[in-house]
Amino acid sequence: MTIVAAVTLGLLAAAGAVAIAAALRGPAGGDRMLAVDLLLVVLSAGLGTGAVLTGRTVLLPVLLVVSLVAFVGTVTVGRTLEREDRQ
Amino acid sequence: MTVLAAVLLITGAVLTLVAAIGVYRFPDMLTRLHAATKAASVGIALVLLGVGAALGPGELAFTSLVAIFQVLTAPVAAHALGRAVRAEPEHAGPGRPSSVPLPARAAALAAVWVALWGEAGAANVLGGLAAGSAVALATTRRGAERIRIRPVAALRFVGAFLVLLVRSTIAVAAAALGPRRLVDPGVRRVPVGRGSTSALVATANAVSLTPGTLTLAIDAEPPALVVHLIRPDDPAADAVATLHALASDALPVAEPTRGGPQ
Repeated sequence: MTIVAAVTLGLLAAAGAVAIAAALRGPAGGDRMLAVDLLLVVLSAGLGTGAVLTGRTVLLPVLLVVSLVAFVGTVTVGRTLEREDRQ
Repeated sequence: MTVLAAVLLITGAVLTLVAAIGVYRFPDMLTRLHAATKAASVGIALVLLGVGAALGPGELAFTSLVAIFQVLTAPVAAHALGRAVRAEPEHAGPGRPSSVPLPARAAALAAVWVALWGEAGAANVLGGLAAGSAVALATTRRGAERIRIRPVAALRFVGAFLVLLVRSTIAVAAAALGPRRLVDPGVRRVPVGRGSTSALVATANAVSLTPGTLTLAIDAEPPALVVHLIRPDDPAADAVATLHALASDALPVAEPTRGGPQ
């Protein structure tokens, strides 16, 4: 299980790196928000996999918080960008 | 259980990586949304289920909850970002607000409560029922269309949705990794049959998670969905119509409630 968790963490780290590259490239605010949303989602998966690797479950509630923050943040930025477009 | 957890973890992580590559490689933002909503949310849901399967039943209940939350919120987030790119000014919206009957809402909230605690003890179930009933009462809206659910038809809708979800994920993954000619995005208006508001909304959200399509707007009159497609030759219109027919079966038009506004 340790090897599986380590491989999973490696794949997720690669996904996070690609997401950061996409966020840096943009070009528009929406593209960056999309990439950051993906990064947060990767982070929550990484936290979960970390719990499997260490056998400690204290960080599991953080998963829920990160998912909530990612969702609320994405919707908020989407609405803000839409309003800016109209003006 | 360990083998299942390992398969879920690795598959989910690979899908997430493919989604990230799609977000990086796809040519415009609406197409990138396809990768982020479909492949990524499925990938993360699989990883979370794998984490739960590796840790134990209580943890599995908790991570399943996070996974369901992820899949349910992905179309909403995609819709919010999609509107920022391509505002649809002329649509009338889905109409009257609708709500699930109070006992069903209270029961669903109680189930969430128990899953959050990760333990189905008597104290948790009773506490969940109390908290769920209180929240369900506090969020009741007057004049909302009551949603009727036919359980068997609802299961068929969910089944068809899951099959499409798997196909969609494979299609998006192929587009993310394959040659660029696989991606030729466009927007199309797909008319659907008449049905309840809730069936239209359920279809719109399911479509955002199924093959090569993303809902940009809902037209109430005449009923239609404005969808963004990865490929214009996709048989996506059929999938939309099929999903809406199943959703209309599962969520029929409710009888007007007595005394409520028409």
